[in-house]
Amino acid sequence: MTKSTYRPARPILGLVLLFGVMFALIGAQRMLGLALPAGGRLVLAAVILIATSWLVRLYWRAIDEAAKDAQKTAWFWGASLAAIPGVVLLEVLSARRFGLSEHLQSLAPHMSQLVMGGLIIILAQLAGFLLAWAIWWAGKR
Amino acid sequence: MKNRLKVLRAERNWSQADLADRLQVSRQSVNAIETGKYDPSLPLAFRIARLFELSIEEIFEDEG
Repeated sequence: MTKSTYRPARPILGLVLLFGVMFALIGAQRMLGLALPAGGRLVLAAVILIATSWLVRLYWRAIDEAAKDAQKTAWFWGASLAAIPGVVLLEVLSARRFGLSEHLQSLAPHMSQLVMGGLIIILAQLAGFLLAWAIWWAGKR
Repeated sequence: MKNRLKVLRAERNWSQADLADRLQVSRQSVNAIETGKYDPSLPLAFRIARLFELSIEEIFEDEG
């Protein structure tokens, strides 16, 4: 029996750990009321980008061709198309008559509306990606 | 695309996980290929053929 080197879970765990540490640092910074200077933020963003790229590269090299196909399909059909309902959701949330924008703002008072809007689009795209990814794999069972 | 992967695997008493390990792919991929719902790339088809010491045409059948 050959020893399997198919271990795509390790880079994912690395990514989860990286983002966990990142959010813990952001949370600690907010709780302590500290503010990084603009230069520091830029350096931190660059470090996160490099670490994420490295882990994503490891993940891409670890997965097999079917998993790569699933990723490509999910990004193309799921994530890109989900941006459309994401924009519609933004439009609904920002409509004054519903008052949802103010409610969201009260939930995260430190977050700018621009960042919140960006996050909503990213979350919509992530949901679209996960849905398309699940449909792809379900079709191959 | 039809294939004889399941038969060839069964002849060797390999589980899908065994075959997946030998091909360095996931068990889900082996299942998808066996059921004809996923067509492997040419490099993977060659790896499969080499593993079973057969030609690609002896394992995969073009339905076109």
